[in-house]
Amino acid sequence: MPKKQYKTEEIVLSKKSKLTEQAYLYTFKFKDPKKKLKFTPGQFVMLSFAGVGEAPISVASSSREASNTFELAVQNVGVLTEYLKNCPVGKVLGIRGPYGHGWPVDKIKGENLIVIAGGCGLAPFRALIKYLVEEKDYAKKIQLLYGAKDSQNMFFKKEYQDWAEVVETHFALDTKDQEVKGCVSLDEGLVTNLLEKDYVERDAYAHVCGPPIMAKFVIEKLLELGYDEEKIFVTLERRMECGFGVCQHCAIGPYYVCKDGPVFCYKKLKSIPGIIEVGT
Amino acid sequence: MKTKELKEKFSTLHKKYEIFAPVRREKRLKTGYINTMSCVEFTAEIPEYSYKEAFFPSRQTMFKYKGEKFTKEGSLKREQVVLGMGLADLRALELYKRVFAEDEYFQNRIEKSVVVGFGKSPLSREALAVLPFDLFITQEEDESYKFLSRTDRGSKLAQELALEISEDIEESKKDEPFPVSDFYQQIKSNMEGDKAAKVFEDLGQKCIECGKCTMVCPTCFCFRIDDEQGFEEDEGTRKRVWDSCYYHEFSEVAGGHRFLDTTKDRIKFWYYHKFARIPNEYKMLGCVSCGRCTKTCPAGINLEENLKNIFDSSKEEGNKK
Ligand SMILES: Cc1cc2nc3c(=O)[nH]c(=O)nc-3n(C[C@H](O)[C@H](O)[C@H](O)COP(=O)(O)OP(=O)(O)OC[C@H]3O[C@@H](n4cnc5c(N)ncnc54)[C@H](O)[C@@H]3O)c2cc1C
Ligand code: SF4
Ligand code: SF4
Repeated sequence: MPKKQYKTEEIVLSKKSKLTEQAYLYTFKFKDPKKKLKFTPGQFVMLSFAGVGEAPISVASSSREASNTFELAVQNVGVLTEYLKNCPVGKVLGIRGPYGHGWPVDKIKGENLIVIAGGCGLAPFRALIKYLVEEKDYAKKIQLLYGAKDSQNMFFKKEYQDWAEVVETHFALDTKDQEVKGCVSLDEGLVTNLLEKDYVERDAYAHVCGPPIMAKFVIEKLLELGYDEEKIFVTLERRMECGFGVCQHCAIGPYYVCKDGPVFCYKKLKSIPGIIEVGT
Repeated sequence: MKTKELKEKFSTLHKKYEIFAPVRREKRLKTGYINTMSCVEFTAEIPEYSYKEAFFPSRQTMFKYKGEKFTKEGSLKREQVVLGMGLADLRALELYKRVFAEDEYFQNRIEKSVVVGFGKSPLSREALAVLPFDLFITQEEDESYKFLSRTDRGSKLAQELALEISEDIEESKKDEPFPVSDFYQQIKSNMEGDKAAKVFEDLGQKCIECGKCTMVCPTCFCFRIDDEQGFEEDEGTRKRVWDSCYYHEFSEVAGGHRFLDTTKDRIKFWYYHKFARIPNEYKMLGCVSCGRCTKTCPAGINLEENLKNIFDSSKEEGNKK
């Protein structure tokens, strides 16, 4: 039976708040008041801007309850994201989805978790962090290791204090330009350096999102430090056109990033040549 | 019945149906939508272009928009007869039926199509039974034609054109009607194990990335979704268009990073898709051996030769050890 695979739901931009010079947190509402977005942390939607195109964006709001409103945190990098930035509140856009498999929420129940993010790579974690903050005792210890250029380029700066009760936060900035509220430590340097610190839990799940080169170095370091490859999860970025495993743009070996990912267990990825080549 | 009579039988077809068929233009056999039967050729020769345009158009309008009003597009207005598909092209159509099983645009076109196959006798009935045609024309050894029907749609068309059905073909109930042979199993395993690095190294030097092989291939189905603005700023269309994994933008994301960065990477991706990913996903091979890619390639890249080399690549590795 044919499904309406490309059916795009109308949404209205209801709020924009600035995250950094180049990024905003956008709040959207479905035009149809009965519609709700049900998703799991790490899943994404195809955001549609008629006349411009579509882009895969992770849902950034809490996934605990399906809701008529939801949030997307978007870094301005190209044509569609620039249009979005210039969008007035009230503008009608579209989404289809959610698609893919997100973070393995079931697996981390009662376990330690370290979240390692670089730059706008914190966006796909916001839904997970919000979930863990709302479900207070869901995981054992949660540590966030976040790297950015400087404090001006950090995502969700206003929220670290709200997360602090549940998430122990450590930052690494290329340039330590000013203090940041809500963190336990703030270092200068790369996020990979933080991994070596004594405070980092060793018996833990590790979730990674950042530019490809950062993900590679982080995973190398994690393996070196003895983390179990079955407990390392990483989200991949690829070009996507359909979002459900037909168009081929995001294919990697036997998998599709859109359908089988975007979050993958490292163990699954390591056998595919050229995806994350550790030690090269 | 001879060719002239056959053409006459089909001459009223356009009154009720759109017709997609092989036509000869300046000696080259191509396929396309036509409005008169006079240029159609009934032949077992494989046309340069495949039949995919009839089911999966190179530019499929998905919807139109004007201001905030969206109108869904893409349903065929009239039924169509897709005429003259050979065995290889029918096998490719079977693959599309699996790939686009849930695709509303493809399904709409299939529902509105009568698929008429064509082949030279003798043809194994077992081979025909697994192919997705409605009506099949066989050219007998004495140059006469016979008509085989496989579906109600086929019988109905035969009735409309006053064709006499000589045989009904029963649909095959086999679970896996297109088993992958040992030769191709080995190719699949060599692709998955990245054993043929040398073959792709060489191909990467030869291929000029024109993308012609992907356009003529009946099984290639990569696509892109493009928006086109109309004359007014607030109107336009969204289209699904054929793409090619040989183009360097294929894997490009914002910021210019390309995950398939070299010609070698991209040509390997093509072989991996056809000979490993498709067999895993759809339980049949992603190549129907029509020979179009080899025939069209301006760089002289030969599929059959490459497959032999990929097959041999695991042996060579064994010898080295
Ligand atoms: C699963 C997933 C989740 C993502 N989540 C977020 C998020 O939460 N926040 C965020 O800011 N960004 C996210 N991205 C990246 C975002 O999709 C791109 O930044 C965006 O598509 C850029 O579009 P553009 O038109 O502005 O860029 P341009 O460079 O102008 O255009 C890029 C072209 O590539 C196409 N394209 C398709 N897929 C991608 C892709 N993955 N990256 C870049 N281009 C792509 C676009 O359609 C367009 O044609 C995510 C990407 C993926 C794959
Ligand atoms: S022979 Fe070439 S053109 Fe024909 S199906 Fe195989 S890959 Fe495609
Ligand atoms: S037709 Fe030949 S040269 Fe052109 S993309 Fe295909 S393999 Fe390369």
